[in-house]
Amino acid sequence: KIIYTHAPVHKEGRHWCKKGHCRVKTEYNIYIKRLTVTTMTSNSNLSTMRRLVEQLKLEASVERIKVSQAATELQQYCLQNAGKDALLVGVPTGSNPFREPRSCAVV
Amino acid sequence: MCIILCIIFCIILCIIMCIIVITKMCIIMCIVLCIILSMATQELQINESLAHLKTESESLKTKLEEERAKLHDVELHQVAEKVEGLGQFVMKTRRTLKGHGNKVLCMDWCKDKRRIVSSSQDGKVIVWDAFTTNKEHAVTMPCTWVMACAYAPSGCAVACGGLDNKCSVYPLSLDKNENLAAKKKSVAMHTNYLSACSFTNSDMQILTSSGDGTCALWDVESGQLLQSFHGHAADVLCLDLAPSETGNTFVSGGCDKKANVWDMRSGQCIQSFETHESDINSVRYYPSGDAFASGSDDATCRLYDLRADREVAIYSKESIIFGVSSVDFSLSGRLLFGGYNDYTINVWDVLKGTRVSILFGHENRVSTLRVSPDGTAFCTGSWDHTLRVSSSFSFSLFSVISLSPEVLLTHCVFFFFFFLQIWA
Repeated sequence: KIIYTHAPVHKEGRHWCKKGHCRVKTEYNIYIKRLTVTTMTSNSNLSTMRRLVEQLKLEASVERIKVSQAATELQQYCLQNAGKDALLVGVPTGSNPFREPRSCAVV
Repeated sequence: MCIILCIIFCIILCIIMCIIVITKMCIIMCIVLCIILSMATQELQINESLAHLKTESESLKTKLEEERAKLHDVELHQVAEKVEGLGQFVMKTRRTLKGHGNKVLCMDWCKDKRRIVSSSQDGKVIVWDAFTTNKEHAVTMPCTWVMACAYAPSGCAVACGGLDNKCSVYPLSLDKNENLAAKKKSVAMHTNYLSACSFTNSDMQILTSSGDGTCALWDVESGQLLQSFHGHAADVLCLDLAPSETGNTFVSGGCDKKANVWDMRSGQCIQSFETHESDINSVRYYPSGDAFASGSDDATCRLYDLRADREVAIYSKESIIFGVSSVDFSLSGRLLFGGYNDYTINVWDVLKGTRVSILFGHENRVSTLRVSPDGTAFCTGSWDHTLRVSSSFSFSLFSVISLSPEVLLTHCVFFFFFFLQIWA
């Protein structure tokens, strides 16, 4: 099955475009995500099942750490680099390379 | 087993029949019967082992979930409670890049933090200078829906691809009049559309993902396939390389709701995460490389930690019902930008899980979002044919002092004479 997704079209009120069906006649946007038929994972294939079992065994043997430890390390990284983050703290407009080029006319 | 006994019984019966009535027909019938019986038993054997494997895989899956749940002792936002909140943010659009004739599908920054390459539905790939908004190069691809484009780390080439199932590399030259299409090099060959491409740390290798469910690593010079990655059950929509110099892993997200982490050298899938409820449109590594975020059609962004091997945060709101098309982190990893299909950009606080800002400005869905390499600004491309470069808006005393000196001088002189007149 081919699945299309649409963007909503805003008129007075809202018209939601359902997946695969658009009721509004104005221009609608189609984003073709899948062009082929997506096959369901057929479990009748022996070798695929064997590969799946091997993969699951591999994933189960991964070394894991506690979420609390991982979270504290993520937080530490954030706070360490927060000063350098221009989007977070903002830069003075003078050094912002994307400032609008100013030109003032004196009256 | 009983099946084998049945076969033996049938064979004995056939031999007895042959002895009693020795005719050709009888012998032929016996042989045919034996063949049918053996095939039936083979089928039965396969079904038995399939059932056995299925039960084994189910038990392994539950065991995996248990192992992961054991280490889930606390949530990320609980750990981050002591961190001070960010307050309200204001972002301002600094540049609007107009020039595409149709929907902008993908964009990438150059390492020099000022050039941008973007691709659109009509097949055009344009290289912009974000500071001046000038177009530096423009290439017309022979196909439409150019869904992937990438800038080489050296800044000397761009790679793009889409419905033509190929990834083409165009070397950029300083001569503006040169016909870039003549120097095109076709690198990747897939059996379905190209959804994402990215150069590795050098100009020499490209990683691509495709609608045929595979990712592949190619050598640019020879066009040879170095490694292919199989494991997704449906189209792969996005990929991102680990940020470290020595890292050789990458993460890919697909329509099968799974995000897989791969080892580039061996081609093995190291970890797999399946908690999204719909297609994963975009994945991006956390700046430290220990986690990654994903955005999906189920209107949520999720953060997965690689060392804890599980999802650690969900960024969603009941009022947001449109899917996320692209995500990116700010430089420190504190902010997560998400481009949504309801034409807005939501900015999330990664540690606390709350939304800090919402940005409007695009007139159609936001299809791509990237933060610049030095973190000063981010660029968004949308189906309204434009790209917008935005950065945070900070009003401070510095902005007054930073006016150009001659303007400041004339203003001072003006006010001086003004006050002189009032006094006199």
